[in-house]
Amino acid sequence: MSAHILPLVLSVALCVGVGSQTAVSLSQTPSPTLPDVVDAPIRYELPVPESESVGREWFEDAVILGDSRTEGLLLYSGLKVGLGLSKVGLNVSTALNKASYTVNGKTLTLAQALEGGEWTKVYIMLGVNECAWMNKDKFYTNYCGIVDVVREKLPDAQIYIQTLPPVSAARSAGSGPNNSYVRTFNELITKLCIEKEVYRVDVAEVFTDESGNLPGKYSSDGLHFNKNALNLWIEYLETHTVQE
Amino acid sequence: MKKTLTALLGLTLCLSLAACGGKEEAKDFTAADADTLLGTQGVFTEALTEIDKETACALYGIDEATVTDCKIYGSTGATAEELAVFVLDSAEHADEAVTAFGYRIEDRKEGLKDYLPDEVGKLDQAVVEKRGSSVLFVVPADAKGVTDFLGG
Repeated sequence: MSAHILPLVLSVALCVGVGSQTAVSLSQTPSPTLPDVVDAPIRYELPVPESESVGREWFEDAVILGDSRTEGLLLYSGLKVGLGLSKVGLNVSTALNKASYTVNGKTLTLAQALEGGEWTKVYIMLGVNECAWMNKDKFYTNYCGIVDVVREKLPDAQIYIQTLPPVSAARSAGSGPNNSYVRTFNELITKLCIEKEVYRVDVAEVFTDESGNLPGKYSSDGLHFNKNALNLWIEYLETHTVQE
Repeated sequence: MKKTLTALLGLTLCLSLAACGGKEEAKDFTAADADTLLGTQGVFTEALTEIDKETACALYGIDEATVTDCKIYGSTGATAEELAVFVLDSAEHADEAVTAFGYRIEDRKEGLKDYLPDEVGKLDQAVVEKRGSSVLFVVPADAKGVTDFLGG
């Protein structure tokens, strides 16, 4: 065989062989299956997105923790919760460090109130009382401490940190909490949710008008919510949950 | 001690009002009386919001099983104003409710003294009155309207 033909023959043979093998491989390899569609992983720097409403039953094994705004929710909305921990004037320091809660007639600390419980989610809204005067680092540290206590006592519970709704324009113009402070503390809450990997529920979204204030139709005093606002608050929570 | 004293004061108020009520014995309160008082001009400065029976009993520490009827209104946070009428199944349970409202007054004073200090004065003029097996509890903005109501 000439020197020119042999390489050609060999090449052809190689191609045929590969082709045969390839043909066999293709016929034997099953069609690749696509993976199941999965939800995107939670990104803690973003608020919990809107989802299908879970209904009010969702809160029957929830802990709801907060200040007078939360007390209004617990007293006037008709919402049935697993455990309500609210106190007028509560701030992150008294919430974490003091016996601020009355449960079945007993005055308890947060750790005591959560001890032995089996609640599956915890909702927290704190900050409006102290945003005008508390050192930002102290606020952050204490709020982190609250999350740590909740995690210790209820390790399997979802934790939802609620952003602070603004106050009215009139109240913001006066002394006490104004909406500049509220915005600053909401930024701290965002930072906390990222660091602690807890869910941020942007309740403020539904109560903020185009000027950044609480609309008058939601409150008689510019701070606390009327019944319509409480129902709106619950609807927002119902439609912003994480199904794990 | 403070709570006991307040409860006793509340009971004394009830008894003294009953004694001053004249020859005709005052009728027991009904839940409808709460709505009447709620609508009386000047008694309240805030549009109070109704609280359901279960929540109210938990709030006050009253055994729900002893309550035959009730109507409760409270402030969503702006004031200390509050209004409740409880009809219990016995005079003894009504006495317990009187005590519970005494505790409520003390707790609210403690809770509001730093948060809404201007509202604490309303708690000082709170009214707790027992009639038979019924109890009226009012934290008014203006006690005159309550006095007129009770005297009527």
